[in-house]
Amino acid sequence: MHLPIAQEKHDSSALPLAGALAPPEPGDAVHERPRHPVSPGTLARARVFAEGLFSTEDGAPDPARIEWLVRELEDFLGRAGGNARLVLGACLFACNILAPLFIRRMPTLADLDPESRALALERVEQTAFGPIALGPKAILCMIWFEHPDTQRETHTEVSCLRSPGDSQ
Amino acid sequence: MNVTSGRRYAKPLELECDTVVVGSGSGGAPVAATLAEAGERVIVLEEGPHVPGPRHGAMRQSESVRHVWRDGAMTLAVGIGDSPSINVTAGRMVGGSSPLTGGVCFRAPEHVLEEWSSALSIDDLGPSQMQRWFDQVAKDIHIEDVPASLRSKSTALFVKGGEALGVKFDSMQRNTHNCNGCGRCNFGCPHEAKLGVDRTYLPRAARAGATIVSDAIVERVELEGGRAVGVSGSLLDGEYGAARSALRVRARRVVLAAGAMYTPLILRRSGLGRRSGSLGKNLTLHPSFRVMGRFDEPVRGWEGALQSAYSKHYEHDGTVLNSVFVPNGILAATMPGFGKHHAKHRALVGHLAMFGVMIHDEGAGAVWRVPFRREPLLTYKMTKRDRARVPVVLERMAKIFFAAGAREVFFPVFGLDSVTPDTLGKVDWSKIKGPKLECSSQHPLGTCHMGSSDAHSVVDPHGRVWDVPNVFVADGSILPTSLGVNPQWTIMAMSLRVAHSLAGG
Ligand SMILES: Cc1cc2nc3c(=O)[nH]c(=O)nc-3n(C[C@H](O)[C@H](O)[C@H](O)COP(=O)(O)OP(=O)(O)OC[C@H]3O[C@@H](n4cnc5c(N)ncnc54)[C@H](O)[C@@H]3O)c2cc1C
Ligand code: SF4
Repeated sequence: MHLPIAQEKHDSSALPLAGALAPPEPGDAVHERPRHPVSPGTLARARVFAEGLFSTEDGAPDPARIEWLVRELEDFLGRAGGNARLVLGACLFACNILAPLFIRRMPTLADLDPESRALALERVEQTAFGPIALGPKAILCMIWFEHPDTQRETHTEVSCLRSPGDSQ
Repeated sequence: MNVTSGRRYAKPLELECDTVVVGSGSGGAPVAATLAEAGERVIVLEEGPHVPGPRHGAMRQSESVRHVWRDGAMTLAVGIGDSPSINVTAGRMVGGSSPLTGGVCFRAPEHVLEEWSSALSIDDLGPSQMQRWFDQVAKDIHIEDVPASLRSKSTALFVKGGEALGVKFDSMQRNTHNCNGCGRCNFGCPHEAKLGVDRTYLPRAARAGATIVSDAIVERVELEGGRAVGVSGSLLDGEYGAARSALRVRARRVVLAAGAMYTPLILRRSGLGRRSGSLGKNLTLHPSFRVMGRFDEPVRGWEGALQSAYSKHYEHDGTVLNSVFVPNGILAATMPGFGKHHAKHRALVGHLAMFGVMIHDEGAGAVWRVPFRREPLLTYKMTKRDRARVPVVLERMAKIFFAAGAREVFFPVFGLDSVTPDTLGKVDWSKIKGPKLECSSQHPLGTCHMGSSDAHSVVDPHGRVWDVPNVFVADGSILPTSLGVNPQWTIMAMSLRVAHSLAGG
């Protein structure tokens, strides 16, 4: 039997082992691990939220960019753990129901056009309920800014391998 | 560094050693290295995965957050009363939170160590007695000054504004070597320049024969006849990384280093540490706030060392100003508005400078065990003294930004539009309640605090849990009070102190 490393190296008065340690690995490819499914309802509400958040003077954001964002969010939530899915899912659910009330509209955010969604969410943000809007806003913005087109548009291209001043 | 993954099992695992260390972060790693080098058989059990530095450094920021930050960075300490709710972040990987730090290293302030040694009657926590441990850590993790050339423009502007108002700044120290200022420290260092415990103490422990097992979660300390005989838990080898196969490690000694949010839960599940009634209480967070200034010129604050300068000018008021930057997306998220209003703000990101402030808080939080859930519930009630400090320091920071030439300043207040030099005085802070403040913390501490009597502390002056002879705690949870500065150096120094007393030296 292959002995655990801690015992191979030193002694000794070994206890009976119910298993043996596998050989060490160079490190996990964590992104290749299977990811937890994310509820379609959460993803649909995230899409509705994102369409409001990223709408502009020109109207709703590019559907392809939103599709990319939602797929990325699915990966994010599928890997970030049960608590993250619970918290973000709850925030999105609450925003979907509560936000329209702030602009005296019914029944859910999904029923509003992107501009009205933005207005409703803005109102939520201005109240003590602000944190429930910030959770999804933070995660969606972080991912949104990783899209190469956003980086080009906002002049925030990755500068990771550069020292200060190199880009000027 | 050799790490064995608990995911690769499909059957129960039982091991035996001299010391089992639970958690591989800033607290656990120095203990593992010290004891392994002293010839002990050491096993380190870590819940998170092993992601080597270069692989971590190659991730996008949101990838780092989803894979190795606990709960995708969505842990919240629920604010009570007029407290803000606080976003508390930590690492969940081999190396704990250490691979995520900005590298900032501060010795514990002398007055804090003096308070620990005199008020708590723990003689050898005094500044002169602790110096040897701080010096040892400085050597082990290569603490050096951040050269001014690595400062980001964001930091340089704030420092310029501060100095114009007579506020003195100093260069930070960090545990780095050959840093090129790429500025993504919180998401893994792509250049292996940041010398966290994953690059220092853990490899040393492994070289000295310690076994490091990732994806292995400890539930409780196993006791027999009033002594610990090891720990039990699970390997995370189930579907989607769920706990499945049983894990048991028999050991002469248990060292808990699962961090201030999780160590108290392990103790509670084991029925230990409850004598004083303070287990899980006394949580301090160093609540932190970020203020942003918008400049006409491009700032591109993400270029340059993430953290490089600080000011203790207002330390008498319990606040320390620390340079900081966050990913552009987070920067944008903290700007007010949705839709077209937010689009206007998003476009400004490259023109924003940011600086942070940290409150030297009084222990006002708690970690609670939630039935049927593994994650704790955190609560935080900011004391009146600390709460009163928030508007004062935020206004001071706005004035510094204006002195540096900022056109407008954004406060960390949900939904509040920017202020200009003309409108700064019109902000009615009395109307801004705690829940509207956007607050974060990277420093949960103090939930198993050390003391000289079992009537009001969880561990004794050597880190031993009062009610059992061979269970020790060596992580941020044992700090007796809040530090007021970034804690990793102090946690490592305290852990070395505990480890050397265990190794008998
Ligand atoms: C983003 C970020 C930036 C920071 N920047 C700085 C900085 O610049 N300077 C500074 O001084 N400090 C910084 N800190 C804080 C510093 O990293 C922490 O204070 C310190 O690492 C805490 O050490 P610890 O040993 O208490 O916990 P951790 O380092 O968090 O280690 C605890 C480990 O235990 C594991 N664990 C938990 N429960 C279990 C269980 N049941 N079984 C097995 N394993 C378990 C966790 O997964 C984790 O890996 C930062 C923290 C973060 C999150
Ligand atoms: S700024 Fe320096 S320490 Fe931070 S990630 Fe870049 S090279 Fe590493």
